[in-house]
Amino acid sequence: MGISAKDVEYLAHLARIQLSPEELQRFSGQLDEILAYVEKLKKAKTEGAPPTSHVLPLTNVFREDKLQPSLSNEAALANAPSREGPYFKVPQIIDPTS
Amino acid sequence: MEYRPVIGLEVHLQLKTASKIFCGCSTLFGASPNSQVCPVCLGLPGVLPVLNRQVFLYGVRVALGLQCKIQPTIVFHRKNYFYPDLPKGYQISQYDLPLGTGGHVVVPGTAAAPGTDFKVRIHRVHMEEDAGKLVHRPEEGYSLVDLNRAGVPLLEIVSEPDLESPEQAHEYLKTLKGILEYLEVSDCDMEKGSLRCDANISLSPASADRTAPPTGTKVEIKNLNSFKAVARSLAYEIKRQGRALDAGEKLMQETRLWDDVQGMTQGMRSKEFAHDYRYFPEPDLVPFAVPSEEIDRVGKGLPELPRQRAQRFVDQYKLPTADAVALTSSRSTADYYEACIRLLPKGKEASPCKAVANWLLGDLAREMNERNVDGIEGLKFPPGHLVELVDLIDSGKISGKMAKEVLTEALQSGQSPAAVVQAKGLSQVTDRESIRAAARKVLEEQPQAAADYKQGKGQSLMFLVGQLMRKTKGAANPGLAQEVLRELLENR
Repeated sequence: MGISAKDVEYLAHLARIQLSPEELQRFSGQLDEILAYVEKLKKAKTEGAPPTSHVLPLTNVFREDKLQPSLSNEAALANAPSREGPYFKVPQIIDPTS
Repeated sequence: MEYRPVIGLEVHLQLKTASKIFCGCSTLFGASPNSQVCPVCLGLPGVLPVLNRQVFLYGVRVALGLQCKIQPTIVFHRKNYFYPDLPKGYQISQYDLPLGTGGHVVVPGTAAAPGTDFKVRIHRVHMEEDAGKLVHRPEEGYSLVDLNRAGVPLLEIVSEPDLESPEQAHEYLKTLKGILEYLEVSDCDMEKGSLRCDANISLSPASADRTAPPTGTKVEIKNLNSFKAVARSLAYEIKRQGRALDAGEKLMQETRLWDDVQGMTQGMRSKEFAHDYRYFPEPDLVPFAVPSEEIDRVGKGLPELPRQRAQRFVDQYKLPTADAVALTSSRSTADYYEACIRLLPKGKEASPCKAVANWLLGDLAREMNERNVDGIEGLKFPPGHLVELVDLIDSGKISGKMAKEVLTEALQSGQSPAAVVQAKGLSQVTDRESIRAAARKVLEEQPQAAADYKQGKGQSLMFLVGQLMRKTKGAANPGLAQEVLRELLENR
């Protein structure tokens, strides 16, 4: 129906995951089923029900503007695969300023 | 062909809260790398963001200050993209239910068309979190990541594409910055990155209907580090796009980076920035709905904004509109001005009000420029000193010309103007007897001019006054000098 293997390939690229041709086929079928279900949901009568963005009946949950202790630099970097001094070290993707 | 530029600006404003937008880490600028981070802003698994109330209140303040309507329901969304400065793989931002919409800013004209107000509509104001900072090591092929800035609160202020020239864009930014300074929600420092700007520009045929949606291809310009860079990059793009269109080329919708040294924009060749952010509601944050009483309370707490203050300056201090607008566009200058006015002797403010304005907008503005100081406080010339200077002229102790020297000296030494006058013996001669003695000498030396005057040549009096000023090295009071000379000539 809606979702082609090409759509899945595009989404996989955006999500930075590599999919085999078999997976592309399998997932496009699965996503199709999900969308078909959403189509069914769309048919439900929703007059008088405002659109919702959250399942909890809560609004306006704030914290006060108070400082809390941060992690130490060592703790922050403890699980980093690669580091240099106090920094995380990553492969250069692009340099947006050059 | 003739084109009309269609320009819109996106301004990012860092809010001056103590803690970050969704966690309790400090927002302090300049701390050592990765020392102000926690599981929330590092995007570690299992943590929950909670909105900082102050961010929300500052946001409402700005939205109201820009005449926006606060939306009844406010929701955060995830904006998904991958870049190493974004630890979670998404930025918490706002999408279709932002904080405020439908505002406007009135800009008091440009240099080319002073006094011609124009209105720039504000499309939306929304809250979001800042990303971290990357330090690139291109030779080694890697980058270093500092996440102290990740999670610092930002407001994004998006204008409608109502601007038609680089000058208008520049003036809009100046006006907007002025308003934001008055609102006291940010230090608005472009150098520290607390005020940032991206520009959108396309060209429409000059003949196209202004009320119809623009049809040109939109280019986004990034890496703009000053208001001047914004104006220059727009001027460059207008030329580049105009030439391309004239040559029949098709423009690409793209993001271009401004190179301030070379004075040009360049397309970002990388496809890594896919503009497909797959926004969806942030499930970790509940919606927000502000009770209208709270909005009213913030609204009542808004300070007098530049435009209102300028009008008050016109009414209260009888200043010309242009002066009032110039004085109030920066809060610190306007505050300085009013501090001076309060120090003026009671009952005789009218003329000094204008004189103080003239000094502020003239000599002091120039000194600020030359010394490259940001704001009047940087000059170390307190309001009391300016009032003293104006009073020295007003009471005839020094001439306007001498006052300029006194100012320069006072700025250099940090002394008060009266102290400078004392130390340099600069006092203007207002003593009639000593002027008369000098005038007699001048008349002896210039018998021809004296005779000419007697024959009815009025202008030779001015020549004689000039000679007298020269003799006294500019110290004589010019009005008195003229009076004394005329008296002597008439009685010869």
